[in-house]
Amino acid sequence: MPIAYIFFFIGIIFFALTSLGLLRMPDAYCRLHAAALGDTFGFLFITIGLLLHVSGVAYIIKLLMVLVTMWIMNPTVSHYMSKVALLRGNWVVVEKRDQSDQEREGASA
Amino acid sequence: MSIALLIIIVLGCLALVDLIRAILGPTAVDRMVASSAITTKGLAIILLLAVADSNLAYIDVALVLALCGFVGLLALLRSLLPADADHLVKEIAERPAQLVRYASREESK
Repeated sequence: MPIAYIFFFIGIIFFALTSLGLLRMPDAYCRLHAAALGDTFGFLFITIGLLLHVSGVAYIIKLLMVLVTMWIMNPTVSHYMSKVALLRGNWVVVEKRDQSDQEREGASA
Repeated sequence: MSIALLIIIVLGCLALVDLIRAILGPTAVDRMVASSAITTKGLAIILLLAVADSNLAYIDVALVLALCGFVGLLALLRSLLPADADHLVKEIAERPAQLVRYASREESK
């Protein structure tokens, strides 16, 4: 079915964005963001393509079980990974805003 | 069928790109992110094998892999969590916002 292959292609694009983000992003939190979002959505589209492809109620239910498992598992694991990264000491710069910054922003706006 | 095989090959190449980050990754969390992304891509490959091989039993394999991968990732992350995690959470809540980038405890050791 050609529509299924279109969904597979969209899923491939999301997976490719995940790999690109993992390779190019500067620190662990950015990589975590790219991996969590891209993998979850790529898996969604590939499963939709398979749902269009498969016939039989039992296999459709099993596919939905895989999809629901992944959609619970991926955000949970990502949240826990970010907590572990923070507690293991991966700090990120947060610029301290002072008076001159706010004046500059007010002038530009 | 050949289109599904082509998609499987592309997903395998993307998993190899993730493997680069798993090898290079400066911290343990980077490696965990990369291995989680590789697991998701492997799951998608197994699901697509059901189309390429026209054998729907692969969907059961994918379901079992999803559940086992979830438990395995949580166990590995649990072992990465520092022992004084509860104390660190309180300490981080009191800390001011500007922090040094990647002043990682694992790098300073």
